Amino acid sequence: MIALMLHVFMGAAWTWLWAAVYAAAQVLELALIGRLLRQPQASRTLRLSVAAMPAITSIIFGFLALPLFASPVRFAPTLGGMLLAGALLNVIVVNSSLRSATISAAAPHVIYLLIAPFAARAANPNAPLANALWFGVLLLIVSVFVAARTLERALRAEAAAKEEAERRRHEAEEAVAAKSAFVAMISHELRTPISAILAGAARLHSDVPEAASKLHAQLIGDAGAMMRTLLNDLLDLSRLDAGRMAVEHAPFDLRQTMADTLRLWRPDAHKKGLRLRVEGAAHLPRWVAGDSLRLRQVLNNLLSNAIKFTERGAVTVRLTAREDGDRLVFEAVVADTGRGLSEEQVARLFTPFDQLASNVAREHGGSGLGLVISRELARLMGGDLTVTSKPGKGARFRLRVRVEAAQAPGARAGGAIIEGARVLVVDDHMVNRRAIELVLQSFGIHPTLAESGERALELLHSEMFDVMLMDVYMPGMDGRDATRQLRAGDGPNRDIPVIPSPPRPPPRTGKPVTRRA
Amino acid sequence: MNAHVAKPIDPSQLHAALSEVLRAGAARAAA
Repeated sequence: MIALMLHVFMGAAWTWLWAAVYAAAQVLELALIGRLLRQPQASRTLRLSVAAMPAITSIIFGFLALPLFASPVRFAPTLGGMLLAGALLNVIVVNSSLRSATISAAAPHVIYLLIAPFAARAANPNAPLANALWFGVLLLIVSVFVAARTLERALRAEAAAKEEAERRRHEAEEAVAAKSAFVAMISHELRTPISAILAGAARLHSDVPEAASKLHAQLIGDAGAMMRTLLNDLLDLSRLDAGRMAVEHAPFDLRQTMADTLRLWRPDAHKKGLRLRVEGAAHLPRWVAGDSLRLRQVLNNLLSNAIKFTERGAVTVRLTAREDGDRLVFEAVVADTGRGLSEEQVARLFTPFDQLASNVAREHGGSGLGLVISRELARLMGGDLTVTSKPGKGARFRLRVRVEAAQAPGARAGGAIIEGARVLVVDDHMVNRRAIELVLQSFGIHPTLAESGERALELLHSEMFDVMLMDVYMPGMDGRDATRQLRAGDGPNRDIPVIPSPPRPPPRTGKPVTRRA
Repeated sequence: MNAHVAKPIDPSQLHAALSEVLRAGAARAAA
């Protein structure tokens, strides 16, 4: 392009020769840079060549200005000056991130600018204002130098700001992760004493004869249950945040699960004068494989909310299941006739620690995290939880989860047979042993307690047990080692089922449980 | 996290786990 324009001033031969040399220099520069990028351990010669190329291309480009300055054609020196000034500004902006490249590429243009007035005077000694070129050139060089310094400072400030922002982001992420881990640990640690309080309160309630003492025991139990719910929510959320929440995949009776869940909420609905209607339960498949406990957790949350926020009318649960490829999509729609939600409330409903949820939680109890956890659980189960609502028109929560069709587990003996079972509890923690003992006693079981894997093996050699509740992590011989040794031996309890402690949801088959799936 | 710590106990889960395991054991014995 430039060559075409200069054609007028310099003649075709010189112009095209210049264009060819300049194009060759640029091609060479690109080739050298490409080679350097492909070779991380490039030779010194190659690196020096790449460093020298900006200066060489500048020398070639700027050379064009000299004949222009010397040309008697009108405006040719002006054009030469403009070419050099433009090239100088260009190399400063393009190479601004690297000082050495800037100096290397700018130096030839500065030198050309300094010698240009000589060329102009030598060629046209009588031209008017030839001396004025000196001032113009000096002014231009100083201006460009100041602009380059300003640009460099601005770029440095920007880089420092970026680095500082990145450092702060990293610190904030670390702080959030540490806080999450801390919340998870505290929640976990607090649940144990609460379990002991609950078990103790239940025992007290059944043992004391006086009505006043029973009431106090009930109060302790209710408060403990409330605390456990809050802590469970916090623990669930921190697990979900950390991506450590896993869902089970085991056969369960879907119809029975729905019936049990709804039965739990009938008294609350009845107490508020609400109708709790169920539609479609009869058309559900009976046995499916999925996570029944998590499904119940989500449905409990939806039903609890629906009953909590509905003053009159009904809560309707519509249940459907449809085939989707080789799986089933189970859907539960919980619709209420309550006060409903505004668009803004709907938008903020699934935001954890939202002020709106906190206010509602303060007013109605709960952690305000239930819906957040429910939606995450629904997504973990291959589905989603959505809501549609309008103020005064009630709310409609739609839960979808994916399950698989499953066969009814064979050979299921009827009736609960746990009363009087011979249970060995192995746990190194005294509070755990005591809490499990209290819970088991409420089932009519009087367990044998062992504080270590070694002690458990001794007992297993001398006594018959039906099942063992084993803490997996213990100092010394842990649960896995103890189980391995038991299975490897030929003692009377060699094939005893082992339930890891804390207990997990029921196993998929009747085989002994050793770990969570 | 420290392994040597107390752990939560959920009575309903414990009951469910025991029932299932004991029922399966009884069924195997019957077979």
